[in-house]
Amino acid sequence: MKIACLAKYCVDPANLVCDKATGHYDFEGSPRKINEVDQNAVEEAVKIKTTTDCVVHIFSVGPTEAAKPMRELLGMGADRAFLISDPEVRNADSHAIADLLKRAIQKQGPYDLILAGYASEDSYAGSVALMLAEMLHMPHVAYASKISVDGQALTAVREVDGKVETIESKLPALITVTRELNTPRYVSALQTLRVPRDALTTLRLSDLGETPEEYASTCRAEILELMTVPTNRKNILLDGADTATAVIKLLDALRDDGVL
Amino acid sequence: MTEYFDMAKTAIILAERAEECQSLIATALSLNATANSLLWLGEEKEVPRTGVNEAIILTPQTGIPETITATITNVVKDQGLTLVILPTTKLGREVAPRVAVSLHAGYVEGVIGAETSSAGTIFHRLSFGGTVVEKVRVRTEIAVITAIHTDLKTDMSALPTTNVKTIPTPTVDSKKVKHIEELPKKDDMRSADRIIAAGRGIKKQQDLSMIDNLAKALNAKFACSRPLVEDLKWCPKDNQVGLSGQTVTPKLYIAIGISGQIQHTVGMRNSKVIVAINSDKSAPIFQVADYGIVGDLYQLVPELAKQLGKT
Repeated sequence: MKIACLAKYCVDPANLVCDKATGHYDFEGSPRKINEVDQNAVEEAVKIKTTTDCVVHIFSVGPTEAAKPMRELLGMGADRAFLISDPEVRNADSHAIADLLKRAIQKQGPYDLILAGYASEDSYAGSVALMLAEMLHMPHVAYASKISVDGQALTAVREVDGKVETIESKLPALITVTRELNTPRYVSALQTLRVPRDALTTLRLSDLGETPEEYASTCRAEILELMTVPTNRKNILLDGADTATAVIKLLDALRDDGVL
Repeated sequence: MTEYFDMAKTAIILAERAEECQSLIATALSLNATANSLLWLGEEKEVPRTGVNEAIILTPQTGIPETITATITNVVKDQGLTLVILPTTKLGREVAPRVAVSLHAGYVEGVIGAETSSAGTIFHRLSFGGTVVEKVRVRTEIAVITAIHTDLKTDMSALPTTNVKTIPTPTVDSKKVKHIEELPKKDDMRSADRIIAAGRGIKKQQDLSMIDNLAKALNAKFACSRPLVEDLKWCPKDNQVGLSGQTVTPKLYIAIGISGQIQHTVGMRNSKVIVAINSDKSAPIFQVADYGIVGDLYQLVPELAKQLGKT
């Protein structure tokens, strides 16, 4: 059995860099990390590997700096990782990313199971994995919180709209997972160091048989601008000489606002 | 020259509930589009009688995204529609990416509005958990979007009478829903007028009783941020506010010992009045708060409860 996991090297929403004067975010200048819930996907694949004879591959589209955190993911117990990284890959929308992943996965595959986090912490559209499923004509189960794989089929549990659904699907299939699924294992620096050098392969557009023009034509939506959402809050700091005074001031203000 | 998606189109919408349908029709109208078709996934007897030209009911009712994708694709192709509007719900977010691929269309998730420009429609979408607006242009003839629920009111009676038809659900043999279990009704914070929320600033699980006491004194519901549920496992998931929890809009929201990461603030940022209590004066929670007190919550919370008890 072959399992592919998708991982995004996303902008860390907790550390977004913003130009206060213009209200514009600086995505390029903001720190990045591996999307947390994608680690749950890798953890699940590695768990399946302990009970089933299979290989686990990780796929990502990102800058060359993503190689280091990809090695950390490999340290969890995955066999190989493929980082699609090319200076021509710019302004990618979710369709362009899904198309690149499709090409890499078809080249390395076929895979019986594809696992990914249900959404990324930065753009939170949750669209790339599902687009990939449609491109590969695979069924999918979204928001899975329990998975069991048995030969040619899988069973997954998901919670939607106050209902818990148990879904059976034939393989190959794609599953998007939530953080409830498992707890990703801790990977020490030593374990990361022990990852063989050749476990990570960087793929260029040319490796995927695509020209920069062909790539550009797969981008169907373009982001023109990013703006902060204005907040109209009073931002009043109530600092009194002591705790009691601050609390009196607060309760007075809340009564004036009519919310007490 | 690249062609861009432009407005003044005819749309298909997908809805499970009447108010969701109304909201999506309002979204279509705000995009200068007419809502031609409705794919109805709700109760058959509740199908809206006005607002769209045709309502399509799938029989038997299934919620399998693959069959919904195939149905939307067929209707769009048959009728020459150019805009697909789905709700920004778990279902909508699950179906829309597949539909976009199936229709060779550009996709924009979480749309809150749009503007016209000389080079096509520019959609506004929320990103980063609602703190960033992305302006997005679609480079295809057909656009697929999910719309964020709007309270825009549309006079439904002024809209066309709906022609209802049922069509057989396309079959999927690779996948089936084996079992559905209804969960007990949750402690619903979404209708609460007042909410007291606790975060990482709480040092021990038993200290939550202090927050609970304050909630009782204020006749408020108790809520918490993600770490107390997912990392420390002190509170049930039902109490979690934020990106991976519930979105609430009470009249009063008091955040205690919550730093104010985007993960949390997206779930409470539309509350009427927001109060923050935190010992770190640089905590981002103060930027989204109307009133802030920098100080020790272990002194401030009992003092608040005490003073409220007096009145």
